[in-house]
Amino acid sequence: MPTQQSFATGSACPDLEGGTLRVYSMRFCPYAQRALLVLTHKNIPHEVVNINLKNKPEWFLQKNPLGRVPTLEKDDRIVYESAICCDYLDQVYPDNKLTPDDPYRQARDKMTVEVFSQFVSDFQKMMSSPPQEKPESLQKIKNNLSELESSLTARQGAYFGGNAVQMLDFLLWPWFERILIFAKVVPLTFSLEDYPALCEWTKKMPECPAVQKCRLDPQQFLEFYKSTKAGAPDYDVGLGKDS
Amino acid sequence: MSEKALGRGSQCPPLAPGTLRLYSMRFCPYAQRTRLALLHKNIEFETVNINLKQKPDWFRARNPIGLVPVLEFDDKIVYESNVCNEYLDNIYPTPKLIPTDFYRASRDKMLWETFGKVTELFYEIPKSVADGSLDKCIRRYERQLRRYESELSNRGEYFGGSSPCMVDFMIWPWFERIPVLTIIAPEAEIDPNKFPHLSSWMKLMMELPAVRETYEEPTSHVHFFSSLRAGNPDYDYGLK
Repeated sequence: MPTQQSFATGSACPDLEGGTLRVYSMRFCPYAQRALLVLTHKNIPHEVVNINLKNKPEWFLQKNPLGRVPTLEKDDRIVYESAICCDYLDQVYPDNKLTPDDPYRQARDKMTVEVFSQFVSDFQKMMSSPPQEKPESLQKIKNNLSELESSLTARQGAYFGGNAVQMLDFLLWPWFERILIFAKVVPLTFSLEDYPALCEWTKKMPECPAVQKCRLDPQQFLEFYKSTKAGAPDYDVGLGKDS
Repeated sequence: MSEKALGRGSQCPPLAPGTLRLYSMRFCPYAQRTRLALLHKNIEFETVNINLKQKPDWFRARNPIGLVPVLEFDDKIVYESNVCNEYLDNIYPTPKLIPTDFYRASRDKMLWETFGKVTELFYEIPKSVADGSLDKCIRRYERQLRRYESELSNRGEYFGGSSPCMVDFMIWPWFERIPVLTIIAPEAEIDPNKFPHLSSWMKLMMELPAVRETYEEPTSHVHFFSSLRAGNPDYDYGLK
């Protein structure tokens, strides 16, 4: 099993055995976590290679010219962009299917992901903007959360997938996991309690075995976050020398 | 049906059962992606153009994000150009524009999902002329275009090989708008010596009926873009 330590510029690419599925990842990246959730939930055997995203190895840029995680590799096949990776995995490993077969339902789910990606960018903007600019981002965030709340309520079940966790739940979860961690240490300008269905969902998701297996260590995450704010992301925070 | 853009205070034209409607805007590249797919697949549809600066409430009710394209059919609503086009390809699979092979489909999706790296430069290049960083911007532009040049060289005349596929239609609208860019930055011209495959591809695309039908002359694009920058977008430019 390869190390969890991240690979940086100048490193050698660890050998990939024929027939093995590898995911290039980063321990605190929410986009990569989407792919890990799907891999874990569907019990797809895989190995993980973590990438130093500030100082990317040249060999990684050969595989993905955009240099982003997650990136999947198996034999000669490379897939990147998180939503595409997740869909690809769901199709190629069809047991425990996570996406609906009906084209319209598929489309509605993808539209929810698009609404959500607006939320992600507004949330990131709010976290990094000075206090006086926060009100505009905040209003956008509240609108997005209202949309998501309506979407969830319409699905008549505890999950975006209805009565069971489906792809949409995994695609959204990583950001809510982080919001819950932040909420314990900083006052958030919005409250999830205002969105009762979403609030319940954030309590149910941690019961899912894949969510548990892929969970962030809150302390390590906060240390990583602090290190990124300081301009020197510590991708290997919390790892011992032999990890 | 009128082509004029409908704005605040307007009534939503009634939609007959069984009719597919596209909410659009005549100069929007994202809506053009869906128009191209509809036309290439010979799907019958009607168009309602939207005043995106003064959106009607009935439009926001259909798409909370408030953008075009939006498809409406009986009680079904689909928005986001990539979602619309995938949905159309599922419901109207002749001709199929997205491969049925999962890996090939993923590679195609990666091409249009990462095309944003090119489109963002369409906004940055004009700004960089003003602030003196044009050279750097053009280098980034060419680096991103090289990904598509390289991919095209492996595939054939079109990204779909001997006939166009979804990738060709998803990226075309910006290539149509390059003449607008080159007025401010001639360096943005697609040089056939640097990009021989993309240059040939652009000529081939212009021969497709769907591309010809959605094509707007550079002067129209320039006029619209200037009116947009001036804060008063002329959505109905060119209409009698």
